[in-house]
Amino acid sequence: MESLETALKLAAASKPAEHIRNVCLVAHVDHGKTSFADSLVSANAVISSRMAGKLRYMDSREDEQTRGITMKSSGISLLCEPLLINLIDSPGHVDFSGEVTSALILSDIALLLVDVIEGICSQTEALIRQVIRNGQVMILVINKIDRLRVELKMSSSEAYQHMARLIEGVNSCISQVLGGIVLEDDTWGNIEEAEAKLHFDPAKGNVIFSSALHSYAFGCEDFATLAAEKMKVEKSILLPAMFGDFWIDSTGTIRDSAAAKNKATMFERIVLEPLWKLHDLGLVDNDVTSLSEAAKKLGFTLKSRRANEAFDELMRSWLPLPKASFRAVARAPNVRSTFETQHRLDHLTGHRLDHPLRPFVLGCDSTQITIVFVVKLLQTEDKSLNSRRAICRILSGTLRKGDKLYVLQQHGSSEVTSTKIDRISILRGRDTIPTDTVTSGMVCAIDAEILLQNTTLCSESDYPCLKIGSQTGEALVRVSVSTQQLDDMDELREKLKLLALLDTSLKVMELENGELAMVTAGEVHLQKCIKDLNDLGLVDLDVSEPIVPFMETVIEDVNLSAPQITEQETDCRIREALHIKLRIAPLGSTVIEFLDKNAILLSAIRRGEADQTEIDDFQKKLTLICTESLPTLKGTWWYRKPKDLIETMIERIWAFGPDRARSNILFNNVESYDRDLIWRKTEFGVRRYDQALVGGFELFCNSGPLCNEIMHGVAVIVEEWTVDEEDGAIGGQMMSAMKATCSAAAKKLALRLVAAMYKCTVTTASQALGKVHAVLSQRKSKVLSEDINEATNLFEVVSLMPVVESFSFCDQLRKFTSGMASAQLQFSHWQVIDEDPYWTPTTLEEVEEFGLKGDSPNHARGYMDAVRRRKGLPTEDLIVESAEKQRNLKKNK
Amino acid sequence: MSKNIKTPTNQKILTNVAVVRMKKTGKRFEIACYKNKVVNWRNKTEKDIDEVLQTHTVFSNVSKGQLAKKDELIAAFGIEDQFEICKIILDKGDLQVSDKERQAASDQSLKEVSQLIASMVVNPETKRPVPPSVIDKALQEMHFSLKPNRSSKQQALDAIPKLRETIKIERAKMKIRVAIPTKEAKAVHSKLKALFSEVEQDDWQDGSLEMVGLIEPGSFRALDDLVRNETKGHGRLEILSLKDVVEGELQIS
Repeated sequence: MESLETALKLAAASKPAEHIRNVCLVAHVDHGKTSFADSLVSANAVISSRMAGKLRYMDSREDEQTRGITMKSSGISLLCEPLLINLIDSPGHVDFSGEVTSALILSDIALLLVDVIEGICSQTEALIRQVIRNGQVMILVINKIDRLRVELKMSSSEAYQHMARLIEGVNSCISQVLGGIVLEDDTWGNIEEAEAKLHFDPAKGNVIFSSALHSYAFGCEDFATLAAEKMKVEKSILLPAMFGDFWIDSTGTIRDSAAAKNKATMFERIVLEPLWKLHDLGLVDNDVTSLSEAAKKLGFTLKSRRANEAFDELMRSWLPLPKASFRAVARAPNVRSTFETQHRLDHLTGHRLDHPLRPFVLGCDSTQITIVFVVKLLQTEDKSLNSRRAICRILSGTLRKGDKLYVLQQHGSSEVTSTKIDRISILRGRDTIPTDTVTSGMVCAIDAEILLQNTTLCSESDYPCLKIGSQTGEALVRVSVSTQQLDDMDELREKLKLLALLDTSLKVMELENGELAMVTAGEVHLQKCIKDLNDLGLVDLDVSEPIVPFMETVIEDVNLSAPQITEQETDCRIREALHIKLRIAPLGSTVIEFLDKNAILLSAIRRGEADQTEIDDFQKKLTLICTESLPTLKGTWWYRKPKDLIETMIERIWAFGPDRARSNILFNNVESYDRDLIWRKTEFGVRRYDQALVGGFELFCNSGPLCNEIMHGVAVIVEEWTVDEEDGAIGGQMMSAMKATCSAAAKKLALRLVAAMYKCTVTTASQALGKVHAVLSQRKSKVLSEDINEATNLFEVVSLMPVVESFSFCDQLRKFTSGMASAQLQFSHWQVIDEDPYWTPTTLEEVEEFGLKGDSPNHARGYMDAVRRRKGLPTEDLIVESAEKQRNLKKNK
Repeated sequence: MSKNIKTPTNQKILTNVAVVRMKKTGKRFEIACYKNKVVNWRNKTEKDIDEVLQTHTVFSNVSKGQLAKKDELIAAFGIEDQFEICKIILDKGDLQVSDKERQAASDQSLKEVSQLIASMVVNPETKRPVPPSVIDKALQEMHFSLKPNRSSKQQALDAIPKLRETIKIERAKMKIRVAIPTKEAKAVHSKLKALFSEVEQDDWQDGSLEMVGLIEPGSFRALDDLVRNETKGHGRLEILSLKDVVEGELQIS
């Protein structure tokens, strides 16, 4: 062990870039990344090879072990002469996609694992997309192939067909992703060329067949070598024909179209038949004697007495998993040549071709200036906050303990901070080995005082930083946290800050009422964050029910006649001093979509930083969209309004909504009031109190009339506004008056809630399908499709589910189906709930159908009341639901 | 079997009764309602009258089961319809508040007090609002109890000084601009300054004065009087914001 450590230290300090590989393991949840990592780790004798595949060495957290899923990415450096491999294991669960992103940033080679039976899953597809965009090299690992024989009892030809189909599927998935990318970005050039480079083909050596559980893996060439010896044919002739529609005749010549002639292909003959035989002996028939005889033929003597152990022993020594994987990895680009792929470099430098750091990254030279990219902060055991530890990658130069590095700024700003490297350590999964020097290309952990995620450290100060936008999914599950002891609140604040630094997908906010809130990516992620807080010493926590964001909007009402719509205006008078008259109208989905798309530009306009040409372009497009779509909105004030009126209205837009609720517009339709146009930066001047009115509009946008959630897609059209400027007291009342008027006007229209929706994918066995539908309908989700996966006989049900309904959905699903179904949830879009929260049965027929109280519960109303109750707003709750059902006893009974 | 024991066949025994009484023309009228329902009827959250009334008859004494006399009803209400009279008594009569109603009301006013306090105070260090949940806990810690005969606002104001001992809070200040014309400016300046707790801007322009600063909400009236009286209506007072706090959501990380 001691010697291994010194060897590692030496290697980390002096390996040339050609011999370093940074590899990460990515896959859909439960496709076997961590088990696969186990086997690789066992190659370095950290754990016994007998335990490989079962121990889950990389899952160091207790909750990871109990749940059996990985929750954080973790790294280990492996020495495999002459190579030094930095292996990074990543989580597969969709909640932790932020961790996967950071694992991918660190590495050049992605080992994409696919469960041979489950095939391509939602995460697999997303990962392929991410890897291709990053410009990294992929190696396909077809995992769990023992299941084909042991569980599904496939014959060798069936198994071959199945695997061929799987590889085809992955390739078509790649083509699809590539097609999308090429359409967006023309620097990718010819699609066929890119496809040819990325496509998987076992003969090319970028496909590995493995079973991580039994710790064996092989590529086509393993068997090609064996067969070449046996049949006395050149290996180079055999290899290209190993996987495909080829067969070999009795004389040893290779012929094609095996399927048409009903012959066993070479892959079946040479690979699968002997392999299946061993599986039968070891795992199906439990025949030890035949197994050891077979082993003897291959040149191994087995010690184990039990068939399954003997099988593992044989496979481990015959087709060791690390050997096949490391061979494929060795063939992939090293830490220097990876940057010769243009996209890889582009991705790192934020698509700036003239980035001054480019030559250094490309050179990856240990004698050049030091560039370190900090990717992910780690939790340290000692709780002192002075020093932080992070995983980082040395892009250029050599890093020594005690080095002073500069933290690079966005534009090479004048204020440069520097930090001292207190400690460097080589990653070893659960623990680390301290060392003094690491060379370029390495992935290691460093301790320093100032460390922030996604920052660049450099030995020279005057360079701009590298930029990798780690995109994380929309964070939706939001809870407010507080401590039971009031004195601990400050501590909680500090700890939350720390936790947010460690975990990119966690955001910590202070809400408008001053509460502390955690915004997490999903339910599992939330539980992990709470566990982390507990570990940091905060035990007595009050965690609220998840707060789900809603939006409020108004919709068109086709039943209204034109005069009824005209009457929807609202007046507000305060003494003689103030008179506001306004109306509210919906904006329609096309306009809302357009505004949402241009959110960044809108906030630039607000701050007065936008480019004039961009503004003009935006105004032109907005005018076009509005004149086209608004007059067609039946049942709104806009219906059949003349084109030139709308044009002038757009020209005279008063303000857009505030940052949180941008897709709302305040229109100036006051004839006598010309204020300066927001489209131009001129000094035309505004009337006094103009800003107070805008302030009132913003207040309204931030808290709508239904349950104080933000408004979405609402036009406020001010038609009259007179104010007595001499009245000093009116200034303070103006804002609230404006807000109240807007709310009152909105209540005259049909108000609706807008809910966030998840796309929910459930995979289930056919006997549990009914139960799955029961749970789904209980959660008010709408089923979009239901397909059966031919290979696994599992159903895949895709549905849309409101985020509010999704809490503990996965748990309930598991319980109802006795574990036969599992689900993945992902944010999809916002959707208007087509139910009036204020609806009650009014006509006689309705009362007859729904009962006086409305027997079928009004969901929109339920959501609204829940939010109102949380915010402490009045609700129409009854103290006792039904009078007759009260208990008839005294209180103390 | 004893002769004394009779099985009542035509009696309906009312349980769970809440009585609503009304005195009119010297006579007492009562109606029988369900418990915990009358308050909901009065604030219009309960719309089904059969969930409120046990029976549509008017009594002179509910517990004894004595019905009100017809002529007395006509004398008092001017109508004969018992159901209509029930509704009148239900809306205007004296109510016996039930346990859950009382509980709900006290919960409501406690919530109101803590919401009020939360809206009035800020954290002096960060100028951020203090969450109502924290106020709630602090009130509980100092064993705050509600007094039903005082208004929520009064009780909130009383509680703030006591709360200061346990948590870091202070009254949120008002931001105000005062403009005084040349003539009176000199005379009023020192008095004005005394009322401000923090002066942000103190501008003398051609002898006239413009001041922007923070004041305690309690001294607004005094300031208003000062400006109005001393300057004979020439001075101007403008509220810039009612609460000087850092608003909105704040991302900490």
